[in-house]
Amino acid sequence: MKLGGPDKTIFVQGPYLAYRLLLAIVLSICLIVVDIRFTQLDSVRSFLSTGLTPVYWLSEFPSHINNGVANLFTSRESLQQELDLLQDRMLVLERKSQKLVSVTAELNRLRELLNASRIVDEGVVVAEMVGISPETDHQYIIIDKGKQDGVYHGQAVLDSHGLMGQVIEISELTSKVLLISDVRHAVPVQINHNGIRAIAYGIGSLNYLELGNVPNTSDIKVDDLLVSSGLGGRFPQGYPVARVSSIEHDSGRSFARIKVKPEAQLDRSRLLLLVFSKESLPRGSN
Amino acid sequence: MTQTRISWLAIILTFSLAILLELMTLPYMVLFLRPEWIVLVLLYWLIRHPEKIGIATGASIGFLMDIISGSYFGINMLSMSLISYLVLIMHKRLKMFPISQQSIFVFFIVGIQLMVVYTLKSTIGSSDASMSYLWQALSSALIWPVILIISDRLVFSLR
Repeated sequence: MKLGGPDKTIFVQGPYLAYRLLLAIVLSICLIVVDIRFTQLDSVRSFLSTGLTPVYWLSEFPSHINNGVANLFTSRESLQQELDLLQDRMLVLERKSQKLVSVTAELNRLRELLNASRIVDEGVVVAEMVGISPETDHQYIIIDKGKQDGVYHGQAVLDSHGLMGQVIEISELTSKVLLISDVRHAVPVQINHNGIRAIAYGIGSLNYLELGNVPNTSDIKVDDLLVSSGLGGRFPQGYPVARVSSIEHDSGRSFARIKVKPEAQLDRSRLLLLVFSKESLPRGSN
Repeated sequence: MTQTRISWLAIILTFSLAILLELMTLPYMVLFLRPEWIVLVLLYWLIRHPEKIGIATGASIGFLMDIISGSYFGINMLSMSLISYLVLIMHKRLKMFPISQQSIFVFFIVGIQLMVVYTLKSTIGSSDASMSYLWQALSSALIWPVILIISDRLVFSLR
């Protein structure tokens, strides 16, 4: 706000202040209404958050420096140790995936016998987290892949342990991922061993989700694994989502209160996987 | 007149720092205690130099916060212009307050700002209302003396 020179120092008294407030409030209410009612502002938002990319990058700078310094002082022995560990782990995983190929092939043959559609394998692209939600009531993260990398709306995001969330907003170089624990998020799941379907709602806590509308009589036990069911067409089928951590049966209510713990490390993972179906996979990735 | 220009540099600098602090990744455990850096810097300028900034600046900063936080446009804008107004009508008294009393005032102002934001959000339906934002108001009030001292130093050295 421009306010004259030093001779006009009676600046904040009088009715002008109230008028200005009124103007600001009317303006912001108009903005809120327009933003809720119409979608035109979405492109503006996407454009503005593209402009904010360097700010996100800068705000991550301290942790980058921290990592850099830590790398600088790592000894040769501990690096060698880590390398050995990783090689061991890779061997184990490779053996598992060898088996997986044959099992998938066999499964597809069996499904062909049943005239069911083949399971399409998905591809992934690694993305790094560059920011988290500055708001305490919303849980989303910002990743370093955007429109240029072929990210699309509603795309599923995993970490190495399970499902993390889905892409809700895309700018040129970054995109925003809504976590499965956000209050606005729900994910269709099924219990791995018997296929009972349910929906896992976020309740705003990173440690727990809630299963909605599960009858008291359902066959669900503590420690059951829930995987994404693929219903609703958003998430690919079969990725681990959560593990049942507590079940309360209240005879006064028709549904059980079931809390589940997300498999993904929602507050720790920095390296994430963006899931692409094979056709939509951008070139040069596996 | 040159003095005015230097102070604008200080304003931009402090707000940029506040935005960086706001966006800095924090462990989830302490996230609920994060002070509202941008609000604090706005309060500093409104109390110390009310001739420089006013409701329009408050509203613009609020709009910027809307962009950063990705909420609906206008929510932070409304709350920030409201607290700018509240501080401006009281700033003469505020200048006389000792720092401890100012901190209490900061607690209420930040509380009002967050309350407006959360009430609007839960009206629109994108948030569940709880009182946990009072922790943020508390940490903001506690860090207020530090903000005051550092910003004073900064403004003085840029003068």
